[in-house]
Amino acid sequence: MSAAVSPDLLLARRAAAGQPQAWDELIALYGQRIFNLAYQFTGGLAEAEDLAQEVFCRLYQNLRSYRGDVPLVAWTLRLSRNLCIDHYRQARRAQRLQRAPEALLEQLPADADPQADFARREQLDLIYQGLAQLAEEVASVILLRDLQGLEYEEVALALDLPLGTVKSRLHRGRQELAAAIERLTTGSPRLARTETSGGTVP
Amino acid sequence: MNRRCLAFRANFELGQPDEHRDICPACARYAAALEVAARLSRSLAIPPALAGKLRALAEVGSPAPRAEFIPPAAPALPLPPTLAARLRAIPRRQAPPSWLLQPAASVAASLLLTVALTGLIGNPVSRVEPLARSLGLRARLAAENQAEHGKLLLQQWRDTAFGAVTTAEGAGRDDDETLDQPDIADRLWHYFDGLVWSRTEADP
Repeated sequence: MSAAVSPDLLLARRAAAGQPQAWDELIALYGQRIFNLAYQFTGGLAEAEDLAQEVFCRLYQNLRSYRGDVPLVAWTLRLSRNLCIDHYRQARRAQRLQRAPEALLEQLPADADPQADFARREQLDLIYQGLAQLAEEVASVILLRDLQGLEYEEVALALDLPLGTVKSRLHRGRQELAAAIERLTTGSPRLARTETSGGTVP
Repeated sequence: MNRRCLAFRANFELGQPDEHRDICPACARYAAALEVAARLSRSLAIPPALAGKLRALAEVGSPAPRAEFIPPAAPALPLPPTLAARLRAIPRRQAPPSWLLQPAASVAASLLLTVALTGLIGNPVSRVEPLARSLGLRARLAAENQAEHGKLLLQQWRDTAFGAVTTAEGAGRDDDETLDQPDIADRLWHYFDGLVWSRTEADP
Protein backbone atom coordinates (compact mmCIF):
# COMPACT_ATOMS: atom_id res chain seq x y z
CA MET A 1 0.00 0.00 0.00
CA SER A 2 1.47 3.34 -0.98
CA ALA A 3 1.65 6.20 1.49
CA ALA A 4 -0.67 9.14 0.89
CA VAL A 5 1.01 12.04 -0.90
CA SER A 6 0.40 15.37 0.75
CA PRO A 7 -1.37 18.08 -1.29
CA ASP A 8 1.63 20.33 -0.67
CA LEU A 9 3.92 17.79 -2.25
CA LEU A 10 1.69 17.33 -5.29
CA LEU A 11 1.53 21.06 -5.76
CA ALA A 12 5.28 21.44 -5.35
CA ARG A 13 5.93 18.70 -7.90
CA ARG A 14 3.61 20.30 -10.42
CA ALA A 15 5.20 23.71 -9.88
CA ALA A 16 8.68 22.22 -10.15
CA ALA A 17 7.65 20.58 -13.41
CA GLY A 18 6.97 24.02 -14.80
CA GLN A 19 3.19 24.17 -14.62
CA PRO A 20 2.38 27.87 -14.31
CA GLN A 21 -1.02 27.27 -12.77
CA ALA A 22 0.58 25.22 -9.99
CA TRP A 23 2.92 28.09 -9.17
CA ASP A 24 -0.02 30.51 -9.19
CA GLU A 25 -1.83 28.14 -6.86
CA LEU A 26 1.14 28.14 -4.50
CA ILE A 27 1.11 31.91 -4.46
CA ALA A 28 -2.62 31.96 -3.83
CA LEU A 29 -2.25 29.48 -0.98
CA TYR A 30 0.82 30.81 0.73
CA GLY A 31 1.59 34.24 -0.68
CA GLN A 32 -0.37 36.15 1.90
CA ARG A 33 0.97 34.06 4.75
CA ILE A 34 4.58 34.45 3.70
CA PHE A 35 4.05 38.16 3.11
CA ASN A 36 2.59 38.60 6.59
CA LEU A 37 5.46 36.66 8.12
CA ALA A 38 7.86 38.84 6.20
CA TYR A 39 6.06 41.90 7.46
CA GLN A 40 6.48 40.70 11.04
CA PHE A 41 10.18 40.18 10.40
CA THR A 42 10.79 43.52 8.72
CA GLY A 43 8.23 45.97 10.08
CA GLY A 44 7.99 47.75 6.73
CA LEU A 45 5.81 47.12 3.69
CA ALA A 46 8.48 47.62 1.04
CA GLU A 47 10.99 45.51 2.95
CA ALA A 48 8.35 42.83 3.48
CA GLU A 49 7.63 42.66 -0.24
CA ASP A 50 11.32 42.27 -1.03
CA LEU A 51 11.78 39.63 1.64
CA ALA A 52 8.68 37.71 0.54
CA GLN A 53 9.94 37.73 -3.02
CA GLU A 54 13.32 36.44 -1.93
CA VAL A 55 11.66 33.70 0.12
CA PHE A 56 9.59 32.63 -2.89
CA CYS A 57 12.70 32.68 -5.09
CA ARG A 58 14.36 30.24 -2.73
CA LEU A 59 11.21 28.16 -2.64
CA TYR A 60 11.17 27.95 -6.42
CA GLN A 61 14.85 27.07 -6.62
CA ASN A 62 14.43 24.27 -4.08
CA LEU A 63 11.01 22.91 -5.00
CA ARG A 64 12.48 19.67 -6.29
CA SER A 65 14.01 18.82 -2.94
CA TYR A 66 10.72 19.18 -1.05
CA ARG A 67 9.64 15.77 0.26
CA GLY A 68 6.23 16.65 1.66
CA ASP A 69 7.01 15.37 5.14
CA VAL A 70 6.59 18.81 6.70
CA PRO A 71 4.24 21.72 5.96
CA LEU A 72 5.38 23.74 3.00
CA VAL A 73 5.29 27.10 4.80
CA ALA A 74 7.58 25.89 7.57
CA TRP A 75 9.87 24.23 5.05
CA THR A 76 10.02 27.44 3.04
CA LEU A 77 10.81 29.44 6.14
CA ARG A 78 13.59 27.03 7.00
CA LEU A 79 15.13 27.66 3.60
CA SER A 80 15.16 31.38 4.34
CA ARG A 81 15.71 31.23 8.07
CA ASN A 82 18.95 33.17 8.16
CA LEU A 83 17.59 35.76 5.79
CA CYS A 84 14.48 36.27 7.91
CA ILE A 85 16.43 36.44 11.14
CA ASP A 86 18.80 38.97 9.62
CA HIS A 87 15.87 41.15 8.65
CA TYR A 88 14.32 40.73 12.07
CA ARG A 89 17.54 41.84 13.76
CA GLN A 90 17.84 44.81 11.47
CA ALA A 91 14.24 45.81 12.13
CA ARG A 92 14.74 45.54 15.88
CA ARG A 93 17.94 47.53 15.72
CA ALA A 94 16.25 50.17 13.61
CA GLN A 95 13.41 50.17 16.13
CA ARG A 96 10.83 49.56 13.43
CA LEU A 97 9.04 47.06 15.66
CA GLN A 98 8.77 49.15 18.79
CA ARG A 99 5.12 49.88 18.10
CA ALA A 100 2.40 48.04 16.23
CA PRO A 101 2.75 48.98 12.57
CA GLU A 102 -0.01 51.28 11.36
CA ALA A 103 -0.83 48.93 8.48
CA LEU A 104 -1.69 46.19 10.98
CA LEU A 105 -3.76 48.49 13.15
CA GLU A 106 -5.78 49.44 10.10
CA GLN A 107 -6.65 45.78 9.58
CA LEU A 108 -8.31 45.41 12.96
CA PRO A 109 -12.03 44.83 12.47
CA ALA A 110 -14.09 47.88 13.27
CA ASP A 111 -16.32 47.72 16.30
CA ALA A 112 -19.50 49.65 16.94
CA ASP A 113 -18.07 50.67 20.25
CA PRO A 114 -15.24 53.20 19.75
CA GLN A 115 -13.94 52.42 23.21
CA ALA A 116 -13.55 48.74 22.32
CA ASP A 117 -11.83 49.76 19.09
CA PHE A 118 -9.38 51.89 20.98
CA ALA A 119 -8.75 49.13 23.52
CA ARG A 120 -7.95 46.61 20.78
CA ARG A 121 -5.52 48.99 19.07
CA GLU A 122 -3.90 49.76 22.38
CA GLN A 123 -3.63 46.07 23.20
CA LEU A 124 -1.89 45.27 19.91
CA ASP A 125 0.40 48.23 20.35
CA LEU A 126 1.29 47.13 23.86
CA ILE A 127 2.12 43.64 22.63
CA TYR A 128 4.59 45.03 20.14
CA GLN A 129 6.10 47.31 22.75
CA GLY A 130 6.42 44.37 25.09
CA LEU A 131 7.92 42.14 22.41
CA ALA A 132 10.55 44.77 21.68
CA GLN A 133 11.74 44.38 25.26
CA LEU A 134 12.15 40.61 25.00
CA ALA A 135 15.25 38.80 23.81
CA GLU A 136 15.21 38.10 20.10
CA GLU A 137 15.12 34.31 20.37
CA VAL A 138 12.11 34.45 22.68
CA ALA A 139 10.31 37.18 20.76
CA SER A 140 10.69 35.33 17.46
CA VAL A 141 8.99 32.25 18.91
CA ILE A 142 6.05 34.31 20.17
CA LEU A 143 5.88 36.10 16.87
CA LEU A 144 5.62 32.89 14.87
CA ARG A 145 3.42 30.91 17.23
CA ASP A 146 1.05 33.47 18.73
CA LEU A 147 0.98 36.39 16.35
CA GLN A 148 1.19 34.36 13.14
CA GLY A 149 -0.44 31.16 14.30
CA LEU A 150 2.16 28.60 13.23
CA GLU A 151 1.96 25.19 14.88
CA TYR A 152 4.61 24.23 17.43
CA GLU A 153 6.19 21.81 14.97
CA GLU A 154 6.26 24.47 12.28
CA VAL A 155 7.96 26.94 14.59
CA ALA A 156 10.52 24.31 15.56
CA LEU A 157 11.21 23.57 11.94
CA ALA A 158 11.36 27.18 10.86
CA LEU A 159 13.75 28.18 13.63
CA ASP A 160 15.65 24.89 13.65
CA LEU A 161 14.94 24.29 17.32
CA PRO A 162 13.88 21.16 19.21
CA LEU A 163 10.18 21.08 19.97
CA GLY A 164 10.82 21.19 23.71
CA THR A 165 12.90 24.32 23.35
CA VAL A 166 10.13 26.00 21.40
CA LYS A 167 7.63 25.20 24.12
CA SER A 168 9.86 26.32 26.94
CA ARG A 169 10.80 29.53 25.15
CA LEU A 170 7.18 30.18 24.40
CA HIS A 171 6.17 29.66 28.02
CA ARG A 172 8.99 31.86 29.29
CA GLY A 173 8.36 34.42 26.61
CA ARG A 174 4.67 34.71 27.42
CA GLN A 175 5.49 35.26 31.07
CA GLU A 176 8.07 37.87 30.22
CA LEU A 177 5.71 39.52 27.77
CA ALA A 178 2.92 39.64 30.33
CA ALA A 179 5.32 41.16 32.84
CA ALA A 180 6.58 43.69 30.31
CA ILE A 181 3.05 44.70 29.40
CA GLU A 182 2.14 44.92 33.04
CA ARG A 183 5.05 47.28 33.54
CA LEU A 184 3.95 49.33 30.56
CA THR A 185 0.37 49.58 31.72
CA THR A 186 1.13 49.69 35.45
CA GLY A 187 -1.09 46.73 36.09
CA SER A 188 -3.91 47.38 33.66
CA PRO A 189 -6.12 44.27 33.56
CA ARG A 190 -7.41 44.80 30.00
CA LEU A 191 -5.29 42.09 28.40
CA ALA A 192 -6.24 39.49 26.93
CA ARG A 193 -7.04 35.83 26.32
CA THR A 194 -5.93 32.55 27.81
CA GLU A 195 -5.25 29.20 26.25
CA THR A 196 -8.31 27.54 27.70
CA SER A 197 -10.94 30.08 28.47
CA GLY A 198 -10.20 33.22 26.54
CA GLY A 199 -10.54 35.18 29.78
CA THR A 200 -8.51 38.08 31.00
CA VAL A 201 -5.11 37.95 32.54
CA PRO A 202 -4.29 40.03 35.57
CA MET B 1 -1.37 16.59 76.57
CA ASN B 2 -2.59 13.31 77.94
CA ARG B 3 -4.87 10.76 76.41
CA ARG B 4 -7.99 12.05 78.19
CA CYS B 5 -7.40 15.57 76.90
CA LEU B 6 -6.95 14.26 73.36
CA ALA B 7 -10.13 12.21 73.57
CA PHE B 8 -12.08 15.16 75.01
CA ARG B 9 -10.95 17.50 72.21
CA ALA B 10 -11.59 14.94 69.50
CA ASN B 11 -15.12 14.25 70.70
CA PHE B 12 -16.02 17.74 71.82
CA GLU B 13 -19.43 19.01 70.78
CA LEU B 14 -20.93 22.34 71.54
CA GLY B 15 -23.45 22.26 74.37
CA GLN B 16 -22.55 18.75 75.52
CA PRO B 17 -21.47 18.60 79.20
CA ASP B 18 -18.33 16.68 80.03
CA GLU B 19 -16.74 16.16 83.40
CA HIS B 20 -13.22 16.35 81.96
CA ARG B 21 -13.85 20.02 81.23
CA ASP B 22 -14.47 20.68 84.91
CA ILE B 23 -11.24 19.13 86.06
CA CYS B 24 -8.87 20.24 83.24
CA PRO B 25 -8.37 24.04 82.93
CA ALA B 26 -6.64 23.75 79.53
CA CYS B 27 -9.49 21.80 78.00
CA ALA B 28 -11.97 24.19 79.63
CA ARG B 29 -10.25 27.10 77.83
CA TYR B 30 -10.26 25.12 74.56
CA ALA B 31 -13.97 24.40 74.87
CA ALA B 32 -14.73 28.02 75.75
CA ALA B 33 -12.77 29.25 72.73
CA LEU B 34 -14.69 26.96 70.40
CA GLU B 35 -17.99 28.11 71.89
CA VAL B 36 -17.02 31.75 71.31
CA ALA B 37 -15.96 30.98 67.76
CA ALA B 38 -19.25 29.20 67.12
CA ARG B 39 -21.21 32.19 68.37
CA LEU B 40 -19.16 34.53 66.15
CA SER B 41 -19.61 32.35 63.09
CA ARG B 42 -23.34 32.57 63.51
CA SER B 43 -23.13 36.35 63.43
CA LEU B 44 -20.44 36.74 60.69
CA ALA B 45 -21.29 35.01 57.43
CA ILE B 46 -18.40 33.86 55.23
CA PRO B 47 -18.09 36.15 52.21
CA PRO B 48 -19.10 34.35 48.99
CA ALA B 49 -15.73 35.03 47.35
CA LEU B 50 -13.91 33.47 50.28
CA ALA B 51 -16.29 30.55 50.30
CA GLY B 52 -15.62 29.98 46.62
CA LYS B 53 -11.88 30.02 47.14
CA LEU B 54 -12.18 27.61 50.04
CA ARG B 55 -14.30 25.25 47.99
CA ALA B 56 -11.75 25.41 45.17
CA LEU B 57 -9.04 24.58 47.67
CA ALA B 58 -10.90 21.50 48.70
CA GLU B 59 -11.45 20.45 45.08
CA VAL B 60 -7.95 20.78 43.68
CA GLY B 61 -5.91 20.60 46.87
CA SER B 62 -3.77 23.59 45.91
CA PRO B 63 -4.28 27.13 44.66
CA ALA B 64 -5.21 27.31 40.96
CA PRO B 65 -2.22 28.19 38.74
CA ARG B 66 -2.22 31.64 37.19
CA ALA B 67 -3.58 31.55 33.65
CA GLU B 68 -0.96 32.00 30.98
CA PHE B 69 -1.09 35.16 28.91
CA ILE B 70 -1.30 34.43 25.21
CA PRO B 71 -0.97 37.32 22.81
CA PRO B 72 -3.82 37.48 20.31
CA ALA B 73 -3.10 36.76 16.67
CA ALA B 74 -2.02 39.76 14.66
CA PRO B 75 -4.43 40.85 11.92
CA ALA B 76 -3.43 39.70 8.46
CA LEU B 77 -2.53 42.07 5.67
CA PRO B 78 -3.80 41.27 2.18
CA LEU B 79 -1.25 40.25 -0.42
CA PRO B 80 -0.35 43.40 -2.38
CA PRO B 81 -1.20 42.97 -6.11
CA THR B 82 2.23 44.27 -7.08
CA LEU B 83 3.89 41.59 -4.99
CA ALA B 84 1.59 38.91 -6.40
CA ALA B 85 2.67 39.94 -9.89
CA ARG B 86 6.33 39.82 -8.88
CA LEU B 87 5.87 36.36 -7.41
CA ARG B 88 4.09 35.07 -10.50
CA ALA B 89 7.01 36.28 -12.60
CA ILE B 90 9.59 34.27 -10.65
CA PRO B 91 9.49 31.10 -12.83
CA ARG B 92 9.88 33.18 -16.00
CA ARG B 93 12.98 34.96 -14.80
CA GLN B 94 14.40 31.98 -12.98
CA ALA B 95 14.98 29.68 -15.93
CA PRO B 96 17.77 30.87 -18.26
CA PRO B 97 19.22 28.21 -20.57
CA SER B 98 21.97 26.28 -18.84
CA TRP B 99 24.53 27.11 -21.53
CA LEU B 100 23.86 30.77 -20.90
CA LEU B 101 25.08 30.40 -17.35
CA GLN B 102 28.54 29.27 -18.44
CA PRO B 103 31.14 32.03 -18.02
CA ALA B 104 32.68 31.22 -21.39
CA ALA B 105 29.35 31.71 -23.11
CA SER B 106 28.94 35.04 -21.35
CA VAL B 107 32.32 36.20 -22.53
CA ALA B 108 31.65 35.05 -26.08
CA ALA B 109 28.32 36.82 -26.14
CA SER B 110 29.84 40.04 -24.95
CA LEU B 111 32.61 39.72 -27.53
CA LEU B 112 30.08 39.34 -30.34
CA LEU B 113 28.16 42.28 -29.04
CA THR B 114 31.28 44.37 -28.89
CA VAL B 115 32.16 43.45 -32.45
CA ALA B 116 28.73 44.46 -33.60
CA LEU B 117 28.85 47.75 -31.76
CA THR B 118 32.34 48.73 -32.79
CA GLY B 119 31.40 47.78 -36.35
CA LEU B 120 28.70 50.35 -36.20
CA ILE B 121 30.69 53.16 -34.69
CA GLY B 122 34.36 52.61 -35.42
CA ASN B 123 37.11 50.58 -37.11
CA PRO B 124 36.26 47.01 -36.14
CA VAL B 125 39.72 45.55 -36.70
CA SER B 126 41.70 48.06 -34.67
CA ARG B 127 39.12 48.00 -31.90
CA VAL B 128 38.40 44.33 -31.63
CA GLU B 129 41.90 42.88 -31.90
CA PRO B 130 43.26 44.05 -28.52
CA LEU B 131 39.90 43.51 -26.92
CA ALA B 132 39.71 39.96 -28.20
CA ARG B 133 43.16 39.21 -26.76
CA SER B 134 42.15 40.70 -23.47
CA LEU B 135 38.85 38.84 -23.40
CA GLY B 136 40.50 35.57 -24.34
CA LEU B 137 42.70 35.80 -21.28
CA ARG B 138 39.80 36.84 -19.07
CA ALA B 139 37.59 34.11 -20.44
CA ARG B 140 39.96 31.45 -19.17
CA LEU B 141 39.92 33.07 -15.75
CA ALA B 142 36.19 33.47 -15.78
CA ALA B 143 35.66 29.87 -16.79
CA GLU B 144 37.19 28.81 -13.52
CA ASN B 145 34.58 30.65 -11.59
CA GLN B 146 31.25 29.14 -10.67
CA ALA B 147 28.08 29.39 -12.69
CA GLU B 148 26.69 31.85 -10.19
CA HIS B 149 29.49 34.22 -10.93
CA GLY B 150 28.88 33.77 -14.63
CA LYS B 151 25.27 34.63 -14.20
CA LEU B 152 26.11 37.87 -12.43
CA LEU B 153 28.69 38.68 -15.03
CA LEU B 154 26.27 38.10 -17.84
CA GLN B 155 23.62 40.20 -16.18
CA GLN B 156 26.03 43.11 -15.82
CA TRP B 157 27.26 42.83 -19.36
CA ARG B 158 23.77 42.56 -20.66
CA ASP B 159 22.78 45.75 -18.86
CA THR B 160 25.87 47.48 -20.16
CA ALA B 161 25.19 46.31 -23.67
CA PHE B 162 21.66 47.64 -23.58
CA GLY B 163 23.05 50.96 -22.39
CA ALA B 164 25.64 50.95 -25.15
CA VAL B 165 23.06 50.15 -27.82
CA THR B 166 20.88 52.96 -26.55
CA THR B 167 23.83 55.33 -26.68
CA ALA B 168 24.74 54.23 -30.19
CA GLU B 169 21.17 54.60 -31.39
CA GLY B 170 20.97 58.05 -29.86
CA ALA B 171 24.25 59.00 -31.42
CA GLY B 172 23.10 57.74 -34.80
CA ARG B 173 20.15 60.01 -34.70
CA ASP B 174 22.32 63.02 -33.92
CA ASP B 175 23.72 65.44 -36.43
CA ASP B 176 26.86 64.21 -38.19
CA GLU B 177 28.79 67.20 -36.90
CA THR B 178 28.16 66.40 -33.29
CA LEU B 179 28.74 62.64 -33.59
CA ASP B 180 32.15 61.68 -32.27
CA GLN B 181 32.48 58.05 -33.34
CA PRO B 182 36.05 57.38 -32.15
CA ASP B 183 35.24 58.86 -28.76
CA ILE B 184 32.22 56.60 -28.28
CA ALA B 185 34.19 53.56 -29.40
CA ASP B 186 37.04 54.42 -27.01
CA ARG B 187 34.70 54.83 -24.13
CA LEU B 188 32.94 51.57 -24.88
CA TRP B 189 36.23 49.74 -25.22
CA HIS B 190 37.53 51.04 -21.88
CA TYR B 191 34.26 50.37 -20.21
CA PHE B 192 34.10 46.75 -21.31
CA ASP B 193 37.74 46.18 -20.54
CA GLY B 194 37.40 47.66 -17.07
CA LEU B 195 34.28 45.66 -16.43
CA VAL B 196 35.93 42.42 -17.47
CA TRP B 197 38.90 43.15 -15.26
CA SER B 198 36.78 44.02 -12.28
CA ARG B 199 34.65 40.89 -12.64
CA THR B 200 37.49 38.47 -13.23
CA GLU B 201 39.91 39.93 -10.73
CA ALA B 202 37.44 40.73 -7.94
CA ASP B 203 36.51 37.15 -7.04
CA PRO B 204 39.26 34.59 -6.51
